[in-house]
Amino acid sequence: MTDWMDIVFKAFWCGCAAVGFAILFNSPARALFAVFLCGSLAGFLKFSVLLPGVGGGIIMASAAGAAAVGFASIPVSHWRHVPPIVISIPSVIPLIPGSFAYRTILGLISFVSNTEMEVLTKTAHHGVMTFFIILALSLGVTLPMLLFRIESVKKVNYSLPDWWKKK
Amino acid sequence: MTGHTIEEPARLGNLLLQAGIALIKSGAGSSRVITNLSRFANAYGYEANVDLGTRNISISLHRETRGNIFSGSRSIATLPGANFKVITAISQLSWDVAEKKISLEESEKIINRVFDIPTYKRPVILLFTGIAGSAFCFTFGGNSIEMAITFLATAVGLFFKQEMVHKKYNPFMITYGSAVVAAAVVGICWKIGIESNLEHAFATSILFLIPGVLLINAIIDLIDGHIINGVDRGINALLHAFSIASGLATVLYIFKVL
Repeated sequence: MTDWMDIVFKAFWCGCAAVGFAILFNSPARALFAVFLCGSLAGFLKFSVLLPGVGGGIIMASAAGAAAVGFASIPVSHWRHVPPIVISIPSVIPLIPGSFAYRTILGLISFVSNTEMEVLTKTAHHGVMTFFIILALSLGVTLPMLLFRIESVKKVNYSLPDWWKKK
Repeated sequence: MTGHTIEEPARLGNLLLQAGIALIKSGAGSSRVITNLSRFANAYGYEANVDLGTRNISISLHRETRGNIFSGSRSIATLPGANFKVITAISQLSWDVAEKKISLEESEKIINRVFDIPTYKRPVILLFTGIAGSAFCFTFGGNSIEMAITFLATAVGLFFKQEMVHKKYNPFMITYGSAVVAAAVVGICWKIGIESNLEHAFATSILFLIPGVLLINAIIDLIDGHIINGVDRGINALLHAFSIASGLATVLYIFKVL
């Protein structure tokens, strides 16, 4: 139970971070609450997938969070009348692997004086993690566009298919 | 919609160039710029051929079988930033043009005013970015003292960045300088003994400088097939990341944390 409370707290703070970046990027005020919701959704999914019971790695967790934001950004951008990137980019920024990037650079710096093999392999590992997490975030955000082969979210059709209506 | 007069292609062309440059300046991805501009041109019965870089744009207009009737280009002096209000405004305008057929004059009025759209007040930006910084600190596992220090460091660093942007320094110098200032705030708090372990605060105080829009746009451009623009943005983001890291390393070296 405490695990879940922890996740809800982290999700809340992810939402706050997303709103902070939305304001830094000068997003329209009507999009801010939506950004908070999407940012929280991303954080919630990321930390849920990271739970030992689920057992996904950090890359899968980031991809799941980003994909959720990508799909959520389509109805939300209709709702708030803004382009989807205005919602999706600030929402996934809390998932950016800052600590991996930080350790990569620290590792590189310590490699100047400490030439042990272990330093190099650890640094390379952190660098690769940084790259793949960012790749997962971008792919997750663009996934709906790639799947639906659309140029604009206004063309997404939410109505039920014809064969369903005839029943 | 206006009748097709002699000067219409030239006016439409200039409008498209202005809109395109505004989108590039505001951090829109390549596909988004091309989609928006094509929607504009199609609404007035023209076809736009757009050649797009990350700092320049050229447009040729033509109509069905007839030859080229307009070409022009624009470029910007500085690297693009992020302004989502401008992207929203132009996206909405392109839909209004396509659906309601508003006239060229009205579109020109809106495009000319697009950079007059107000930004948030400076204290608001500082406050919320500070909160974002401490939120990062929490998700990385920091305690409440570290969160408070990160808030302070982020706000001071961003204030310094805004001042440097105002004085038109080189963007990578701005990023480096802001990283030094933000990390130095944490370093000073550590030196005067507020908290003995500030690893989380050091790592998260500089995260407001992360070029998130560039990183994500870089990959999106690559996926969409705008390879050169994607690589351009990717290298740009990498240089920013390296500036951040050098700034942080400078401070860690000065305070002998390393």
